Amino acid sequence: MHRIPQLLLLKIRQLWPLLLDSTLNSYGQLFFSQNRVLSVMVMAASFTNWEVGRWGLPAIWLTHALAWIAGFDKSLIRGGMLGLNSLLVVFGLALLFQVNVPFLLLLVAACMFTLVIGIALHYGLSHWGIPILSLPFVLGIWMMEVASRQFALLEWSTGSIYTLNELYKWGGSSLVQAYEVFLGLQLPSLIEGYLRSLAAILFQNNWFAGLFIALGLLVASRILFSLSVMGFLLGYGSQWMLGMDLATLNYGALGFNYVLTTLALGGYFFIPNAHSYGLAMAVIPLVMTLNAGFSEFAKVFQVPIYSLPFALATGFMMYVIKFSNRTDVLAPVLLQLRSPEENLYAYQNQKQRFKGFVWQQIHLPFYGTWRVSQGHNGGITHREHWQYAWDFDQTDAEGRTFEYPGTHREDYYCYNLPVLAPTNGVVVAVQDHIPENEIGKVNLVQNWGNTVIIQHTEGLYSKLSHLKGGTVCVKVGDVVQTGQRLGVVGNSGRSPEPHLHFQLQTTPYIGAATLRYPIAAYLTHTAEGIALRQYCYPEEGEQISAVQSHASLAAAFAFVPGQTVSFQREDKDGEVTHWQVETDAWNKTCFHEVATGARAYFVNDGTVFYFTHYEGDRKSDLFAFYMGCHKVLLAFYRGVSVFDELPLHQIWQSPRRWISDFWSPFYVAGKATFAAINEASEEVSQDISICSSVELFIRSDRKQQYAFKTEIVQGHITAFSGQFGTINLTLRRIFPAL
Amino acid sequence: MSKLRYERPIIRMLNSTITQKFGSSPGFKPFTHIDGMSVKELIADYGSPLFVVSERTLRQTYKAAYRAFSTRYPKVQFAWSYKTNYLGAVCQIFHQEGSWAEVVSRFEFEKALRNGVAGNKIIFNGPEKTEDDLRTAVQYGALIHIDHFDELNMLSMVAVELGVKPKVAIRVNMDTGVYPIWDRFGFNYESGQAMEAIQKIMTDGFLELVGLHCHIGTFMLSADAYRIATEKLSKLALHIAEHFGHSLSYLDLGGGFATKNTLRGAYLNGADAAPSFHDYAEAITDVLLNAGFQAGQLPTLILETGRALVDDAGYLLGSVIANKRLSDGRRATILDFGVNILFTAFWYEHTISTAQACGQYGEDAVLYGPLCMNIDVIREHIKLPPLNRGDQVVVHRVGAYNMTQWMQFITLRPNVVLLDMDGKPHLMRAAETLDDLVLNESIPEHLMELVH
Repeated sequence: MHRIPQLLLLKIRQLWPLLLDSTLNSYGQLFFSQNRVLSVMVMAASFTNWEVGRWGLPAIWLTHALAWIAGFDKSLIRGGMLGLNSLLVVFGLALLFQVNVPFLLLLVAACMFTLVIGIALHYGLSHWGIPILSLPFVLGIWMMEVASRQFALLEWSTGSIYTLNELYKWGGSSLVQAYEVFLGLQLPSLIEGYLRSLAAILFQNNWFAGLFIALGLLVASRILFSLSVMGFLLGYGSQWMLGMDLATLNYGALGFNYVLTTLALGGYFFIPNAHSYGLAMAVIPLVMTLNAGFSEFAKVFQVPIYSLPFALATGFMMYVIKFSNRTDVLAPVLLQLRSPEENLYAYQNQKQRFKGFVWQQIHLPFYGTWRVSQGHNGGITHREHWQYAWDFDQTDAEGRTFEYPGTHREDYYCYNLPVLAPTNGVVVAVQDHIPENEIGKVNLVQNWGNTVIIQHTEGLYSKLSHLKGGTVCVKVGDVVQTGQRLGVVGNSGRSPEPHLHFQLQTTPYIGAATLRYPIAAYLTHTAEGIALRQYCYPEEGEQISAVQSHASLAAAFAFVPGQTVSFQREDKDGEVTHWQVETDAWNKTCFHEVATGARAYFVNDGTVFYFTHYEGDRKSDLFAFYMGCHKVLLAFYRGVSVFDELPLHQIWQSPRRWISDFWSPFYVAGKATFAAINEASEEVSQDISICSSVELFIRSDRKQQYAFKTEIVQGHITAFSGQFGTINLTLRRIFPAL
Repeated sequence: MSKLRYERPIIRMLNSTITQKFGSSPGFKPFTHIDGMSVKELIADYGSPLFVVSERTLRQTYKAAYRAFSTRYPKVQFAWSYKTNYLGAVCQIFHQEGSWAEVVSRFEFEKALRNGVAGNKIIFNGPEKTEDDLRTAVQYGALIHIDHFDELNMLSMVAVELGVKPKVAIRVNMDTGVYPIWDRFGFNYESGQAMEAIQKIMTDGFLELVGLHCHIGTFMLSADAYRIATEKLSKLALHIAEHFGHSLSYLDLGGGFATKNTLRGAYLNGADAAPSFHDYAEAITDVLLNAGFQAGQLPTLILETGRALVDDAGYLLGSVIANKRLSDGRRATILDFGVNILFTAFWYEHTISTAQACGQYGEDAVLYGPLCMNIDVIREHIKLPPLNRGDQVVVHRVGAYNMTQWMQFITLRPNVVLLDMDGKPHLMRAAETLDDLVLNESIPEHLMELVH
C-alpha cells in the first residue's frame, strides 16, 4: 500500500531536475540567461507586485504540464521558452482582472492558447531561422485581452489602487512605511527609467523590481548588463531626439523593447564583439520606429503593443542578416551556452584551435624525411591554376639532391623511392606508359608524366606525378588504404631531375587546377629539433616527415563507446569514479562522469587525441582529465611538444576576470595555454608518460600553473595525477574483472 | 744421349690494349689525396704503414644507408656492429648519427658504455655470455639476444635473482637459399627449435620477448636471401602475435651486406656484383609491409650493418720495401704491411693504387707483406706499374675488420688517423710500442737473470 507514495517519490526525484530547471529558466530566459542567480532575482522581482507575481508559478507549471502531456520536446520545456510566454500572458491578465472563477478559466485558456501558438510559431519560424522570442506572449495577450471583452463575468482589477492595503495586510505598518520610503526615493530620472523599464517586462510598476533584475543581470553576465544599460540609454536618447513622449519610456511601457533587442542582438544570438554591439546600436532606430508605428496601429484595437517591437525587430534582423555576404564580422552563435561570456570565450577558443581544420585528413605520401623543393606559389611551375602544389625530393647533408656526378637518374637520392597513398580512397586515373627523361631534359607534351589520381571524398582528389613508368602497381577502380604503395619516384613529364609532385584538386582530371588544402599532421625537422604541424601547408625548403603513431599510445586512447573507464582516488578513502564512453546522435563521443553528470567531448583522429567541449561540474575528476589530456600526440618523438589552448572561462575564475568581462567583447587580456610532451625511459618501451601543463597568462604574466602526468603501460592508461590550485589529485586505473 | 722431352708449341694471343694514335692508356691513375689531404704528407707526419679513416665518407655512407631504409619503412634503427671496427672515434661518429651499439662480447659491451651509449641502446649478441656478463647486461637494461638454451636458462635464473624482467630477443637461423647455412648460431626455424625457445620464454614469464634476431651470413651477394629471412621472421612474429597475443617491438635482420670489395676468386668486379642499400631495402621492407602486420603494430626494423657502412671509409697507406725477381721470373714487390694488419687480404682482392705518378705500363707482380711467413701474400697477381723502394701505395676499402682483426705479430700495430669533415687529420689510435707489447708480461723470478 505504501508502494504508491514510494513510486511517487521516485518519480519526483527523477523529475526534480527538469522541474527545477524549467521553472527557473522560464524566469531567466526572459533575459537570455539560464543563470540561477538571475532567475531567482527575476522571480523575486516578479513578486514585488504580489497580485501579479503569484500567478507566475501556476502559469508555468500548467503550461509545462500541458506540454508534457501533449508529448512536446522536453528541451523546449526545460529551456523555459514555453513557460516564459505563458508567464507574461498571465501577468498581463492578472494586472487587468480581479480574481474569480471566470478569471481562473481565462488563465487556463490563456496558457493553452499561448502554448499552442508558441509551438506552432517555434516550428514554423525555425524553417527560416527566426526565434519566436516573446511573440506567443504578444499574440496571446492580445487575443485574451480582446476576447475578454466578451466575457462579461470578468471584473477589472483594482489591485494596484489598493496596494497599500494589501501591504498592510501582510506586514503591518512597518512594511507600509518601508514601501513608502522606497517609493519616495528620488532617483535620477535616467536610472529610474532604466530600472522601471526592466521591471515593466514583468508588469511590475516599481523600480526595485528593476533593481533586482539589474543586480541579477550583473551577476549573470557583465556583457548582458552593459548591453541593457546601453540599449536603454540609446533608446531614451533617440526618442528624446525625435520628441517622442518620454513618459511612456519612463513609466516602463516601451523602454524594455530597446533593452531586450540590444540583449538579443548584442550578446545572445551573436558572439559579443564590437560588430554585434554595433548591430545592436544600429537597430535602435528600427525599434523606435516600430514602437511608435505599432503604438498608432494598436490604438485601433485599444491594446498595448507590449514587446512586439522587440520580437519583430529581432526576428527580422535574424532573418535578414543571413543574406549578407560579409561573413567575417558577425559570428552567429552555433552552440548556445546561454552566457555571452561563455559563448565568447568558447568561440575564441574554437577559432584559435581549429583554424585550418578540415574533415578529410590528408597525410604525406612517403616514408622518411623529404625536402619541399617547391611549395605553394613556387617560382618554377607552381603558378596560376597550379599554384597549390608541392614538389618533394631528398637531399644529403650538403643539400645536394644527387650523388656525384648526378648525370644519371639513379644518382638522385629520391629516384626509385616508394610513393604512397595520402589517405584512403579510390584510384580514378592512372598513366603509366610515359618514358622518362634524361637529367636536364623535360617532356612538355605529356608534362605530368606517369600519374596516379585518387578520389578521397566527394570533390577531393589527390594527384601524384612524375612517377617511374611501369612501376605503378594500382589500376583505375582499386581501393587504396593510407600508406599503400602506388609506384616509385621517376623522372617523367616536366621533370628535369627526379622529384615527386603532389597536389589536391576538386576534379578527377590530369591537368586540373589545384585546391588549397592542408596536410593534417606532419613533423618539420630544423636545426632546433622536430616540431609537430597540424593542418598546415609545408613550406619551400622545409624538411618534413609523416607522423608514425605509437602502438601503445594509440591503444591507450582508443576509447570504445559503451566502455567504462574507472579510476580510484589515492586519497579520499579510495573513492571510485566511473566515466562512461558515449556517442550521441550527431556522432560526437564523450566521457560521461556518472556521479556528477559532467560530459567531456573528445576526438581521436589517429594522430592526435583532443577534447572539444566540456559541460558540467568543474570540480570533477573528469574536468581534471579534460585539462590534463586536452591534446595528446599519439606518437613518440623525444622532445616534441604539442600546444593548445583552453576556453578562458574554464580556467580563469576570479574577481579580476569578472570585471574584465565588461570589455571582453573588445579586448581579452587572458589566455589559458596547454602544453604536453611524451616521455619514455627506453626506446623500445611500450610505457610512456605524458607530462602536461596548463598555464594562465594575463597580459603575458603567468598567474597560474597546473601540472599533470598520465602514465601509459602496455597500451592502457594506468594512472593520472594532477596538481592544480590546492588540489593534489592521483587516480589509479581499475580494470573490470574479466 | 737421351731423347729430350717434347713440348708441343702453344699459340698465345697477344693481348694488346685498344690501339689509338697516342698509344694505349692502361688507366693507372695515382691516388694522391684523401678528402683533400695529401697522402705523402700523411705518411710523412704519421709514418708508414698508416690507416686513414674518412669521417665524411662514414657519415655519407650511413646517411645513404639510413635513407634507403627510412624512405621505405616507417620505423628503422641502425645498431653499429662494434666487432667490425671498435675504434672509439669511429663508434662515436655512428652514435652521433643516431645509431645504437651492437656488441658480441663483454669488453665490447663495456667499450660501448664507455663511449657513452645508454644501456638500453646496446644489443648484446654472441654465443659467449658468462653469468657475470648477463648480470651486467641485465643491470644496464641492454637488449640481450639469446643464442642457445643454456644461455636462456642462465639468463632466466639471473633475472629471477635480480628481480628484473630483462628485454630479450632470440637469434633464429634458417634456410635462406644460400650456402652455408649458419646454423651454429641461434635457434633453428625449420626444425621448430625457435618456436620451442619462444614458448619457453612466454610461458616462464621471467623474460620479456621484445624482438627476433637473425644474421644470415656475411657479404651476401643476393638481396633475395634477406627477403626469405624477413619472410620467415615475419611469419614467426605474426605467429607469436596470434598465439600469445603478444606483439614484438622489433625485428633485427642483422648485418651481412656486401661491399664493393672484390672477393678472391670472384668473376665479377665487386663494384658490379654487390647489391646496393636500395636493393636490400626493397627486399626487406617489401616483405615487412606486406607480411600482414596490423596497422600500428609494424615492428621496428633494426639493422646491425657493419662492413657495408665502414669499408669504403678506410684506407691503408703503405710503402714499398723491396723488389725481387722470383725463381720462375715473376716480379715480386714487398710492402711494409701484410696479412698481419690487412687480415681481409685473405678474402679480398683490394683495389690498390699508387700514391704517386708511376709509369703507364703495368706489369704482373705478386705482392708480399713484411712477415717472414709464407702465408703473408697480399696478392698473387696484380698489374701495377713498376714500383721502386720507397714508393707509396694506397689500399682501398679497408675500413671493416682490419682494425679489429690485426695481429701483434712480428710488426707492431701502426697509427690510425681520422680525417674530419674539413679533411684535418686527428690521431685516433697511436702506434704501439714495445712497452705496449710487454705491458702485461711478468717474468717469473727465476728467469729474471740471463745467467742461472
